[in-house]
Amino acid sequence: MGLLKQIASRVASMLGVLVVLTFAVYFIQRQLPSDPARVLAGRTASPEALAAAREQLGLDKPFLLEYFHYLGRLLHGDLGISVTSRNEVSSDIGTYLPATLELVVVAGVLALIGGLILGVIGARDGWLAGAVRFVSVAGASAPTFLVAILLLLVFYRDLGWLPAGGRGDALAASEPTGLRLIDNLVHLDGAALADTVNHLVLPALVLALSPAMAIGRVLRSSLRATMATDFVRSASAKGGSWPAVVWRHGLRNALGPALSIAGVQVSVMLGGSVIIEMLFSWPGLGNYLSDAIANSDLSAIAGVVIVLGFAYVLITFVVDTLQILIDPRLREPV
Amino acid sequence: MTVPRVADNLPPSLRRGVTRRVLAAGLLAATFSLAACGSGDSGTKATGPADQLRLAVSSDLPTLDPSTVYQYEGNQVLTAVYEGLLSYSPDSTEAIVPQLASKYDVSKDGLTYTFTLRDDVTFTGGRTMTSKDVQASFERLADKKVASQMSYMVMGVAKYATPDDHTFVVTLAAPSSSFLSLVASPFGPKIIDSDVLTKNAADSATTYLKDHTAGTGPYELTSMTKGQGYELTSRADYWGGKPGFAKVSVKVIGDAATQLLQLQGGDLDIVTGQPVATLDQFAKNSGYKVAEYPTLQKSMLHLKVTGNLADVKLREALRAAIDRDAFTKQIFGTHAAVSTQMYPVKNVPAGTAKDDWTTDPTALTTLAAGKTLTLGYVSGHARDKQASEALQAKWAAAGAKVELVAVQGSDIYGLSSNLASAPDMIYETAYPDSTHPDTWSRLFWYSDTAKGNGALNYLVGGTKEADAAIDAGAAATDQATIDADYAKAGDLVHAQASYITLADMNDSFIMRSDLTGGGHWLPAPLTLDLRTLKRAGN
Repeated sequence: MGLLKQIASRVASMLGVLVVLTFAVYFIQRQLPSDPARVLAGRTASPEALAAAREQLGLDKPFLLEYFHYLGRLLHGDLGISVTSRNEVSSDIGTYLPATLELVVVAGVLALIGGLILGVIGARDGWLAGAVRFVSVAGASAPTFLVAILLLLVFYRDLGWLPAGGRGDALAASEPTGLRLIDNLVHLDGAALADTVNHLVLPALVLALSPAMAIGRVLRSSLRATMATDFVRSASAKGGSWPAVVWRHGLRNALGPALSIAGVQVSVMLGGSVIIEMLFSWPGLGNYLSDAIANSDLSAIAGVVIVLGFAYVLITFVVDTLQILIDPRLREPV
Repeated sequence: MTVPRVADNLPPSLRRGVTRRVLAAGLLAATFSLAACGSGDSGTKATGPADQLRLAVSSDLPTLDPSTVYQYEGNQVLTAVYEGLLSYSPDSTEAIVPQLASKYDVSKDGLTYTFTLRDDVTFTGGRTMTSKDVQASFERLADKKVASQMSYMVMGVAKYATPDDHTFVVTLAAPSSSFLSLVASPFGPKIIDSDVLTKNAADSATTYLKDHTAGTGPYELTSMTKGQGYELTSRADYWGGKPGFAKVSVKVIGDAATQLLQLQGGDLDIVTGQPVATLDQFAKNSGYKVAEYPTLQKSMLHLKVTGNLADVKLREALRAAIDRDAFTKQIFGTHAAVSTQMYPVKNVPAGTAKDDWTTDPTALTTLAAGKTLTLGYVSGHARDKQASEALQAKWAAAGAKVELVAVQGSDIYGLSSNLASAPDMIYETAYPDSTHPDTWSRLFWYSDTAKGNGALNYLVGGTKEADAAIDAGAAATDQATIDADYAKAGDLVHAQASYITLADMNDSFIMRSDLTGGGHWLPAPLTLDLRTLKRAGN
């Protein structure tokens, strides 16, 4: 199978997963006994008003018929109306997504860097490697919630170095991208950039912690196996220092599994951001989802799940494709 | 209505008890308590600028449109920016006081309400308020494009009239003894600049008012970030004089523990919706004070009158097995009072519609033998679950087997239409929209749900006779008859034992000790009146 055909096959598989996801989301949404029409119409709504709300939300039609309508609307970017905000869900998601994206991207970068450092140091013998392994296990076992509180107590309450939450100055530029790091740079606003970074540090660190440990553990194992292979040992025997050999020969061959787990971890971070956003008052999709769940706002819940599901599938696809491109062994024979 | 930060868009009455986020705070209460104990008063950091107030709300406002926000905490922003013709007294009593109306008259037949408007009121932007603005705002509440959940408040209006710029006349189709209380309700009609409504008439200004304000309040919105917070600035031309703070920051902080951290870190001045242990801990710290206000929030049980609980003697036995003093102390500490009436506080005269019993669990042992009863509570409400477990334990000690059932958020609405599968009992805490007994009895007790009444009568309690008494109270025009009719409805429901009231809950705010003068409206939970709040020495 050619490379393009292999990628096309993954695209088809990705689309299939998305259709199944939308069906599952819609099916669950319709099976729940919650009555979003009542939430929309209000407690004192007349039966007529309730019926109108039910019609507006598409709850008055047969399941399959409405599912296909729903799918059709999805293809046009229409995720329905939030019964809480009364906005288009796609509009709400557009408002909150940049904050989550920024958090997850920064946390993802931190996780990759942290995982790389932990993996490389942990792969070597000695007390430092032992310490890193200990930290990796401890870090992976520590509940995110408690780590967040601990960091807040130390860096916010006691030392006063970092803010406790929020995304920074409300008046700072949030255009054109909604990603403040970029927007502050575009507007050459150093003070706002520093403020944005200050607000990002704690939530991004907490969100990155567990994925960094996971990436580090996989990289360490993979690197140790690679460093034990004949060609790497030959390179070492030629006089290359350990760091040089790792850099030139070890990492390139050990990165595959780490890249794979990194893809999964970044996807997991999207889901994990819900708790982090709540703890750090981060105005992103996680907080939006949290409120939507509390309000039985099914359109909003479904919209966020579909967006996150799409992101998960997309990241997995990108990682798979990258792996195929990097490692010819993964390509299927023509 | 209900409690702290749950479903933002659910009717307030459905937002019961402590929210899911308080669970987190509960888990961390011990941590903070230890920290606070260890540091004594040193946990109090310096306040921010003296002329700035920093508050937290636990969930974001879905919109800033005063005609559609039906959310407790949203009122903290909206009542600072918008005002109604009347309001409740800031001393947290049932007294209704003038706000944008300097006075009002009610005709003897109870049909015509004439409001005399203040002539010194301006909107943000400087335009003077007239009766046209008032009429447009009242009409907007019933506008189908707006789809306001509070539209019921003006559904009984036959016509409006504005004989001059400062007179606004409302004529009802039939007498409604609750009308004034609804006009004064924090969820009632708020006056919006009609120029804004005219300029945005295409969609009844629903889009514009989502993120702009056009009110007469002491503050105006100067910036907002969805999901993060709101910045309010005091208005120089506010008719009521200069408020105590030049700026008010309202931060959206979902987690109760994080709110506490920011309070301790000097970034917040006031937090609310905190667990009892946290309130008690902060009350001992001289850097803070815990301000308590009575509210209309009631802790109570709904009971089926069918199935397992068809026998009124069993319902009475369940009631008699509850030691309300112990229950209230266990669940609410000193932050609630034992309920004595079927209605929330100040709804009906003291001594009427009594909900009294003598604690005696003996009858339950026999009557509940061989039965397994179910008690539902709203999932995610930590304190509701705790209260339900306390009731379960009490009944178990008397020999009754009761299983707990978590009910999901808005599922509770559907229980009445599928009563057979509903729990035998539901525990909740709830508020009405105003101090008028109709706003409680018509929602919770009205048994004929066909016309939209009894929307919160989840287990279909109440009787036709009680319904008739409620209707008679609504239509009455003299206070003695009104009181007698609603008291009768309460007595009938008490006799049916379909509702058991447990406690009247307080609003508790932890605030920095240098804050003074905080006003509170009895029907406005989780909301302080910012007109009177000040920082000492400012």
